[in-house]
Amino acid sequence: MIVALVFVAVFLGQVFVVSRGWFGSFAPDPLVPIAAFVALYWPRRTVLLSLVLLGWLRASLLVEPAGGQVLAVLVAYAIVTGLRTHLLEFREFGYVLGAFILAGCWSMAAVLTSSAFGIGISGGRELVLGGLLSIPLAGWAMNLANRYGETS
Amino acid sequence: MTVRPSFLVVALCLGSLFDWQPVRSGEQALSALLRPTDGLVQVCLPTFTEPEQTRRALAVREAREAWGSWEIALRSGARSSDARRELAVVPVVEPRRSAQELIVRVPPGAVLAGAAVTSHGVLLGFLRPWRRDAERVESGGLARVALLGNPKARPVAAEWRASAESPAVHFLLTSGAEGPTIAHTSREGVLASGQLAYTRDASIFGDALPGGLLLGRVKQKDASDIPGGALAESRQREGKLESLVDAYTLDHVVLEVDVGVPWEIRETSCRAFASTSRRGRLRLDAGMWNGIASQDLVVQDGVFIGQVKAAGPWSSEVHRELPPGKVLVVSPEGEVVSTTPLSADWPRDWVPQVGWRVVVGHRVYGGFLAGEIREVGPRGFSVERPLLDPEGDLQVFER
Repeated sequence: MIVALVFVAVFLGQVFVVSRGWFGSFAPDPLVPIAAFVALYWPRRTVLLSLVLLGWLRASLLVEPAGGQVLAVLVAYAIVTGLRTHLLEFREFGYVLGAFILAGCWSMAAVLTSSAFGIGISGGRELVLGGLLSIPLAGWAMNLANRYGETS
Repeated sequence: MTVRPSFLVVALCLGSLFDWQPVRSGEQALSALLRPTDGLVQVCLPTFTEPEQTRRALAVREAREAWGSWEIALRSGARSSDARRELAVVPVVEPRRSAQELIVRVPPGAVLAGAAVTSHGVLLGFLRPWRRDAERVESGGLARVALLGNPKARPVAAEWRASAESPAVHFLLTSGAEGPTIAHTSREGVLASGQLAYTRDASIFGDALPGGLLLGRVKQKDASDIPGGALAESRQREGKLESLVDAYTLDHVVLEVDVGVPWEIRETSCRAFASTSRRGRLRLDAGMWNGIASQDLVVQDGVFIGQVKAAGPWSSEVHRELPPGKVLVVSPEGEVVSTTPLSADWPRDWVPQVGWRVVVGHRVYGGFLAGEIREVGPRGFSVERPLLDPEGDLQVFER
């Protein structure tokens, strides 16, 4: 599953880079719906490794210290996982809500890490717009979660 | 989530954020996953049109000329002691104020102990061997300069004149507790503060140091400097020398090297990942295994692109900021000033203007265009960096 996740994340990451080339910071980050899926439905055993890989990949794409993105996504995950039982009750809506909470926390953590360490860690608009991508993907995410994920 | 792996991850994250090189180097490894799709990304990205190609080529040529003229100015006043040796501009690696010395990078095996080190015709000091009995002074491409006033620097035969027609007053410049000290003056009682002192041609005594190098300004010692009233007579003869140049702020100095000894430069050619070439940072498709190291310079067709921040095994991260230290700022009239972007370091009454060119130099390859001044503020100036051609090759070499 992790291998599949990495392939999907690399492909979507490159799509993100191309869309950034055309639309600048208005390009939504497709790693947000993936990270939301991981945070809500991923098997607990490998969730840490998966999130580390997602943060690391985002840092590689944006040429930033990987520690910043990994730390930010882990902080966002810690907050989303606290709300997980409530979010799972709302099914698709819970996934979308979870994606937006994750994007907001990721973005906030990136800003705080940036100012704390004086290093540019990208967050902001791209991540929040990435949350929007979870709306059309919600049905798909639920199907995948029912088949392979943990929904309880 | 178990406790131990998460602690390890957080520790590694902090290592990365604190710029710990082993972690920063290791984290470049994941970029190998970007390589297979990079060609596709390049096709899909908007292409840069370069309508000012000719203007850029001209600017690159002017940057080279500016660096060349600055090097000539740096060498002025100094001359080599014999035909087998020549003057070279070498970078200062580390100023050591507490030890009164500079560490400079030199061509391996090309410098001799005791060689004079100058800047703009001012004598700064002498090369000093790492070991007491060694004739050659270089070790690992580095040499150390004992600055004037350092007890390890040799005495200098010097002179000053009240005017061009006046007879010269000869003296010996030695090292004292307060820095360069005047001793053994040829005429007693004529020491006058404010006069400029120069080296004296003492080749007749076998001293290879050329005459006419500026040493500094003569300053008579204050009475308070000399303890005890009984030393009133020596007060007439003793003095000290104030240097006109703060050697610790220099980025480059001039010294004699053997003719034709090449610099050993580690360099390689590579490309930037298309997916990262549009940002203030970029990722190279080569790393430590290709001979790239942290702090290396990245250049494309005479344009300075950036400096390697972290080198992984097969990929490196480049930041597009100017390298730390001084750059050359070139006005449209051709005036060249060596300074930093911070206004605190600018020469007095000098204010750069928007559009003036900024040049970064290298000891072997000369000057590279680093951009144009975009904005001048009370704290300094910012530089508009030239665009990178994502399809062009990049040269990476050690600083």
